[in-house]
Amino acid sequence: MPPPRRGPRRTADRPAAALAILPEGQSDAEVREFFEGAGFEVGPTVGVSLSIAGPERLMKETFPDFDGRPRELSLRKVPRKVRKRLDSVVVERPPDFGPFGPG
Amino acid sequence: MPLPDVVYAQASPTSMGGTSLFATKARIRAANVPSFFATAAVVRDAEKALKRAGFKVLHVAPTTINIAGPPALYEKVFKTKLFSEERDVVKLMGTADKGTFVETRDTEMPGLIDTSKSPVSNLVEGVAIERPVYYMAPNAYPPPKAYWHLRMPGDVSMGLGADTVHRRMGFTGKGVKVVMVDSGWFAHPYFVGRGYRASVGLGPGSFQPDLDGSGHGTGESANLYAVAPDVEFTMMKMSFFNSTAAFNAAVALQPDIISVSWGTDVEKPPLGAADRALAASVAAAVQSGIIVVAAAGNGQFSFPGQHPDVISAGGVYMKENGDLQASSFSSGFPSQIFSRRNTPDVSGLVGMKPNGAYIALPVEPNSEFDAEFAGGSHPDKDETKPNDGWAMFSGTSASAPQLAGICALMKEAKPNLTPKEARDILKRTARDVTKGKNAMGHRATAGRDVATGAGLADANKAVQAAARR
Repeated sequence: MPPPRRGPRRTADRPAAALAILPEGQSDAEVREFFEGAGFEVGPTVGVSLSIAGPERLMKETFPDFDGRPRELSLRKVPRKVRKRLDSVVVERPPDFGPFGPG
Repeated sequence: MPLPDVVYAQASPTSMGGTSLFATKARIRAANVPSFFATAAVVRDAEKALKRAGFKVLHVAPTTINIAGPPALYEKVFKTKLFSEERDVVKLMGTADKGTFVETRDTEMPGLIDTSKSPVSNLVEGVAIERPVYYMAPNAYPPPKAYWHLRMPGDVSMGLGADTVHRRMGFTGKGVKVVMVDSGWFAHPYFVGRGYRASVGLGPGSFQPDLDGSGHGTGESANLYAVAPDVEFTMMKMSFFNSTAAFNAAVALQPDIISVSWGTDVEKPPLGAADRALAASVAAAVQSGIIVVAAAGNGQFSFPGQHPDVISAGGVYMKENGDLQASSFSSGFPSQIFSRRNTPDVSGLVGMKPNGAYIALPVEPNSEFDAEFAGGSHPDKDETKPNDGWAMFSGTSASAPQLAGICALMKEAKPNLTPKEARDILKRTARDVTKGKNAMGHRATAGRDVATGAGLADANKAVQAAARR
């Protein structure tokens, strides 16, 4: 049998990403500034959304309910003034067809 | 056989996911490979420890550290015993021969050294001794099969009337930027041999730009090249949990056309938050002049395939004698999300149920699509090998890049063509399809219908119409 796992416990440096969604017609300036300041890599704003990416540790610090699974994340740790500029932050669910199935 | 002077191996730093790369029962795929990565700190410490022990470190990756050293060094550091043995192998061009393997009896897994008795046991979960490999690059040509299927690029190009455009009008997609948002792109000899050019961008959360562990993106991109071989093509590799972000990254490149061969299954309102965001991104892209082509689905009520601004791509099956019928594998339906929106708009070439196994497509060898369609008998399986770099599939995932290719030809003929004009022309010039039912049971009839939209796209007529505008 292969040897059992040894060594340090899992840490939270694996890459993670989520999608920040703005209310329609809302400027992205404060949202972008907050997430960039927190250490996230922030993607381009297209339509009403922009991606935020960073290590899982950072994602969990900012969104305590983040576990990598598709869901809308709680914004309770996001400052109120930024929260007001956000509709939601979501981890998307994978598409239902395409790379997962026959064409 | 004596042991070689130098033994090469892959040392695996302790996986952050909690299960060793060598102990897991899960199949390692693009979606779960991050849990087999080690943290940067563990990789760094493992590299230092291996160097300190006397190994030469050749390459460091998130999952393994490539090391080299004499056999005695492995035996001393890992408290193991190495030996060599001859095994039957198949070498280049299928020649049966013998190969020399370095082995250990530490574990039941061939070639795996147990690190538990070594000073690096807290940093390295196992060491895999490299085995001899023989050049097995995938063939540039698909394996011949007796059942009816389409071979790339000729059959798809001819079926859609694109070869006529290439020869008589000289349009091949030159100077037109097309981005496909998908699982990645592997530089298969099929593409390299034909001089097809591509670049790969990484969407947020994706990694390994030179690999496509799924095979989907690589294979479906061949549909685009078959129709528009000279496009400026970019694959925007997406994380499966971040598809809208990858679409946004594609928009940011400001291409002429974006092709989407995936979607979520949304029959009734409301759209979820991420789909609402994607809807806004699609609308913004089209508003800025980008043509967005999206698959209508393979039995799903696809979103963004039903978005009113996209060219919704359906499926038509072409028989061996050239007869056309609605693909029983492809979606087509009146949208309940967007009023007065019927999908698809127009169709490309797609296979039939159960799996749409229809077009011989190049994929990364041993990728998911290569392995999962392999063996068996058609139409359930494709009768190819699981690691030969070829798989037989299609779906509206194939149709979308086919239509994107026709749009590229039209764009070359008429650079200021708008997304709405492109869709109108495709619908007006398509070949009507009057036979068969689609995956939802809708019957193809004379004129436009929800089985195939306006029918099978005709590149020749479409480009002529665009050029006349």
